[in-house]
Amino acid sequence: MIIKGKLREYLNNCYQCAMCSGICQMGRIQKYTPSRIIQLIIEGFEDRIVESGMLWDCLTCNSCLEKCPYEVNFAEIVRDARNKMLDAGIMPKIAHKGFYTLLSEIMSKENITPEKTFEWVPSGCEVSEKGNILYFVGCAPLFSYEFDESMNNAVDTLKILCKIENEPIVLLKDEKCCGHDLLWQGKIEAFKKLAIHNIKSFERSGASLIITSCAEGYRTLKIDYPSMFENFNVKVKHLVEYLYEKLKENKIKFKKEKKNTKILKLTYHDPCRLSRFLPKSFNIYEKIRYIFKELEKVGYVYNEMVHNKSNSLCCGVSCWLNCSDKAKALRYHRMLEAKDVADNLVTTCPKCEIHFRCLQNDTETVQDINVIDLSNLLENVIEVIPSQQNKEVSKK
Amino acid sequence: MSKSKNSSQKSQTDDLIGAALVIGGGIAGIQASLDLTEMGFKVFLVEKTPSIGGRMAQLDKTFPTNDCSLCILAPKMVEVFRNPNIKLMTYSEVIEVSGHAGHFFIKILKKPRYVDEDKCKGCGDCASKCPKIEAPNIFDMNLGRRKSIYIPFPQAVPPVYLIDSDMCLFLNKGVCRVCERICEAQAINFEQKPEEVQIEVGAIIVAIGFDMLASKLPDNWGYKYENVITSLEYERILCASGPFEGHVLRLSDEKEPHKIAFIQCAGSRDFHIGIPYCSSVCCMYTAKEAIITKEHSNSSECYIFRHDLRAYGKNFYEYTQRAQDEYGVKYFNSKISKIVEDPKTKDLIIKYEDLDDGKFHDLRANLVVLATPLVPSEDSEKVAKILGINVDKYKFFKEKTLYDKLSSEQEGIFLCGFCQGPLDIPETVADASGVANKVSTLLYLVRNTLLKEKVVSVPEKKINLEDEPCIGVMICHCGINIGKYVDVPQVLEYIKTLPNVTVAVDNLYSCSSDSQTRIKELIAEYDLNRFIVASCTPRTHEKLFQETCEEAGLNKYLFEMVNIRDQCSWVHMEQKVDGTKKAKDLIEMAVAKSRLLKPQKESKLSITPEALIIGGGISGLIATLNIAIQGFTTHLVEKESKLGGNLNNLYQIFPGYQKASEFLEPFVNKVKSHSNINIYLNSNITEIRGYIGNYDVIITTKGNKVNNIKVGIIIVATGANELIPETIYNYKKEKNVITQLELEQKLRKENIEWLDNIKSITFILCVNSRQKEGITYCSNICCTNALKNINILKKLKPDLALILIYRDLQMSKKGNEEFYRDSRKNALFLRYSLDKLPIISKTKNGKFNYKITLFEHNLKGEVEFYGDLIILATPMIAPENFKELSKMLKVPQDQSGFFLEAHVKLRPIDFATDGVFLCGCAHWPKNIQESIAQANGAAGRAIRILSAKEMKTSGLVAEVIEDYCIGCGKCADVCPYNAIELIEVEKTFEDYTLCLKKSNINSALCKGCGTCGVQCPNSAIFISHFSFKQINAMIKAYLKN
Repeated sequence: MIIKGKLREYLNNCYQCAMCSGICQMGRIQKYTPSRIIQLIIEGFEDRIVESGMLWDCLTCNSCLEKCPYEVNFAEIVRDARNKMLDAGIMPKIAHKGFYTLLSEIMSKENITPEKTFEWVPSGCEVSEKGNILYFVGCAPLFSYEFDESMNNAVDTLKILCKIENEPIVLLKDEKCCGHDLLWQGKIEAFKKLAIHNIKSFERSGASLIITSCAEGYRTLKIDYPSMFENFNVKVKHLVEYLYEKLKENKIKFKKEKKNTKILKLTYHDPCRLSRFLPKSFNIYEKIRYIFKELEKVGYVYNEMVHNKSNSLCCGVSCWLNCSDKAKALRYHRMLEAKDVADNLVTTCPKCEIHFRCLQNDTETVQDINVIDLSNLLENVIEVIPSQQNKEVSKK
Repeated sequence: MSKSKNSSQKSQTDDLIGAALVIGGGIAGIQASLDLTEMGFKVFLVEKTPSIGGRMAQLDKTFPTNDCSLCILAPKMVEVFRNPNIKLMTYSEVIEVSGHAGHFFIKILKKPRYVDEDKCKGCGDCASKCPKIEAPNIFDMNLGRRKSIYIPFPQAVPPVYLIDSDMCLFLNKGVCRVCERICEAQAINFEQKPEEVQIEVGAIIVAIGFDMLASKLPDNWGYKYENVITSLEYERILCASGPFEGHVLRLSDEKEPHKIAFIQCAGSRDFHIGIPYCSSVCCMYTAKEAIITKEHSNSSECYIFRHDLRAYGKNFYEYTQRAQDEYGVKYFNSKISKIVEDPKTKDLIIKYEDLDDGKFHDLRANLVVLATPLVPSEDSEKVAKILGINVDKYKFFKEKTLYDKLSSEQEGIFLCGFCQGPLDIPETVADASGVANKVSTLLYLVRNTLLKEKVVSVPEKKINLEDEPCIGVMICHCGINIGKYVDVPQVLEYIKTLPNVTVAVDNLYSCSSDSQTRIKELIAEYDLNRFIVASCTPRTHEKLFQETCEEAGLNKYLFEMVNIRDQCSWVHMEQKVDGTKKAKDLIEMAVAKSRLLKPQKESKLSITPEALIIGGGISGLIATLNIAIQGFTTHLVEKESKLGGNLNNLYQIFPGYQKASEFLEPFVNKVKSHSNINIYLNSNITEIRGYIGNYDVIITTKGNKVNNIKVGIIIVATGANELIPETIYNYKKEKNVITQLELEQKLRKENIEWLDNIKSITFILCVNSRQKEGITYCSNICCTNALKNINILKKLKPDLALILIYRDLQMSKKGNEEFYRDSRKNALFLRYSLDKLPIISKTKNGKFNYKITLFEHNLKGEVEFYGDLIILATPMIAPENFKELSKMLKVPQDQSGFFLEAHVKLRPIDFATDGVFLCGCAHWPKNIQESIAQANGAAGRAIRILSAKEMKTSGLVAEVIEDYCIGCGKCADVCPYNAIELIEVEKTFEDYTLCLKKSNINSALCKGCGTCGVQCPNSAIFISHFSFKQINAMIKAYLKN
């Protein structure tokens, strides 16, 4: 029996209403019914479920939890079950030959300490090894050998931070992978090792605020680290939250677009990790919409897709699993929704971005929409309000 | 709330106030108020909205009888309005409370109506001329429109208009004042300001009801779409007085929907959105709405999506079966996933997985009705703060203990209706009587101290039937409400010409107080001996005019009322001439009848202030205690040798897990030690004679000891039994196949060694119940009981494997859903259906005693598992001896053998026979909490009579002309009140003396319904005030023209 203890209690919560069956995003491309899977497991047919590999198919997108009346956390059940499945030798098919997670696994070894180069740091950006504000770069730069634009996210985020802050931004030379993908593949031990290393590095840097520009990194640092390591209590903010606060505090504003340029029509893809994977009180999906509202004031147009906020559709892939024609079908649907309302698809998750771009290579119909990370969109637009003026504004 | 410091050294009685404040004028508040006045207390009824009636007034029909909801409620509303001891304060809110139990100081804010309540006659002239039509009609759930001067609904009580200060042109823009000019009664008063009123009461009842959550529901329920509505909105659409005048239309195109889908649990039972409880009433009202829809249009298709079917109440389950079998309503076993709109047709696509076949489907419906969660009224927290009481985690008012849901945690403040937790109308009504009883228990020392009794100073005029009738007639214009459509002067001239009409006058408003003076003057001036008012409906106004006649010395039965408003001006608005002619006819008929009217006497009946309670279970104990505490001698009869009933067989009780014996003990001790209580153990009732107020009862105790007692009322609290299964699951042969009660008895043993060899226990629910034949009902309490036992067993032996096989889980009510959720971890829950019962077979030399085989829908195949002990949850049934008791008491049983109440909705604990009441499982299987509440209710209903000392009987009764009576007994068979019996009368003729059977009507019990008169083959029975002669005279008067 793989699933036992507390996990089984979670399973027992499911009262078999089958609401999830029609909610499940996987359900749009193949029969996938979380509540039936749960019932079969608790009835004693766990082997059948485990051996079928069915649990590797779950997108862990949390759409079912979002609607489940009894709050059965299927994604967590799947995550923990995967952990046990690995022990039992039931392996998933991982995309890109498993290279990226292998990299993470190698990194997790205690005796390996990365020595990152900061060649990519743009000129004019002052960085340091110690300080108050730490930018957790994450894995996106590592992908740049395969995906052309994946460096831009880090570059532009750092530019934004340096523009706003009057102090050097901390970058860690020995930053390891946050471990998100390992965690959701069920490789929990390796994940923990990565976390321990990173937490120590954070401490050494003396930072009191960690900023990420990645949805997965944010959820991992904000929720999963503290849930496993009580001593980790550094404030973590996603770039969205950070910019929202700066706007609210009148520290920054957006530049007006030049008159001649074509008006940009924007829409936003809510990554699951920044919406359904966070407590409602975080309200990040409203915060980013505030940013778009401000952008509209300077000449952009913002339109909402049919599925948005916590109902957002899935990009089709998580933690390098499930890459297939089916995943592409899901993504295709999402991109058509975007195309209906905009010519720029903005997101805040590098993985979503990579996968949307990947589909553009395959499918002509979605090529004319520009996929762009929030940092890339905003880097040129942000204008810092000088502190003198800043005071006056707040007086008004 | 601050405690008053000067609680004084005065004696206990001096500080008590014989009045109660009732907050909320729904059915709960109405019933509590009416009961309280009958118990001798003054009532202040405060209602936030402009009319009493509450949610029940908004419903179209009520199940299971499909009575029109407002039709059965309106008489009670009028009763409140007419009751001299209820101070009705609508459009008012309680803003401050201080003091303590027995003596509270209350501050009430009366919001301005801008219409003088004393002057407004409710004629509606103002609204017809009001130019502004913009406000959404709140009563119609915002579906219709109304004017800015309005009455919430036609039957509103008080029947007084008010101005919506947000909408009124004059109040907002300073122009218009049309209503002021048009109102002949000069009732409009734009100068009205909010007014504070201070009162003192001894107790407070909170009954503020519920709201329906809809707009805050998550997107997947689709409420944002035009053709997705809530069930309360649908009630208004179904209703003849609703926005579409009773045509079932959908909102987008006002076309009749062909396919209608009803979605259950649209937000209820949902921890995620914060409504973790079952709203309890939706399964039933949805079945009703589907049935009514089919009755509107038989070709329409109704689909109901449900997960568990929770028919929580008497014969409710059968009603849901009727919906399917007789009306063809289709049920799906699934909670739907989502609803999306087809933007072209505005139809709705419902996405769901059918749990029975495991397939995904899309169902296209033209209209979707959501059973959205019923939540505490939005005011509940505010009210709780003012009163200093607590709300629970769901924001319902918190009850004092799990077993006393009628009391708040604050002494002297009581809870009633949906504001304490989800419940249906019958339970609300029973609880209302229960809280009235609670108030009475607190304030009984000051009973009757604040009541107004009408004293008539003018002595009643002697009427000789031979005297020429002198009839006075008053014809009402009702502003222009009648006068505009009926040519009143013309009618008046005609009526003046009729024989015996001494005087006829018309006036603007017959109901105004100057008109009452005028009537009295006319009677005196012309020495009238009959009086007629032709105006609106007798439903609201007959009692007023009767009282006026009495004040003028005229017997009230010499008054006659004609309704020329509803019958003439309203229905013949477009036919002025015909309407006027009809008014003439109707009044002329009344004149014809009036000539033959006789004064009727209302006799007084003394009441023996003692009570008999049959049954010493928890219900009987509670009823007994409550009556005895209030100073009445109470006789408690129990057939066993021990008090306590079924609780004597239980181990721990639901939901608090107290030991049943420990829970029971204080109640038994109190009953045993109370000086007003006589206990008869090992005893049976062997004879009952008499009627309300005067019963002679013989109690026979084992050993043939006989007691004769005289009581005023009887409460039936005889409980019910667990069914012993005969054939099913080899129960008779197998010692390890036992019932739940047998399990409880095993658990009661201190020693639990019997568990040692048991590794696995299987519970099977719905054994022998909810069948197509035999026992068809749901016994309501077995599910919670089984789950309780599962939790107990798991605690006793944590490694025990527990399996529960169920069909639907009955987890209605406030805390039960969470209890269910917590219990799920302790057992494996498997569903089965009636057509594929689980099979139990004995294993041969295996590790376990039994093999259980079950069809599993998920696998589309059979699963097998093993168990050592099988627990059968069989239903509670009515014991055989109910038959005997039912005969003695002359009260009926329902088809399942339980006692049948007077009205399933509004008189749930009364019998049709006056003076006999009902509580506990004798009425229907129910849990301890509900039994206790109902016992309080029955005690309350009884106290009304016991505390009255004497009762007035109606003058309007059936009478037998003995000579015509042939003694056939048909009248006695049909009398719904058991007022008729056959007696033997000795008749002496020239040569013979014969013993003849004759019908004998007890005027104390007769309600004057007339059923017997219709049934009598020899016209030997007539109804006074409606005699054949009088009716014939009316018909003749009509035919003459």
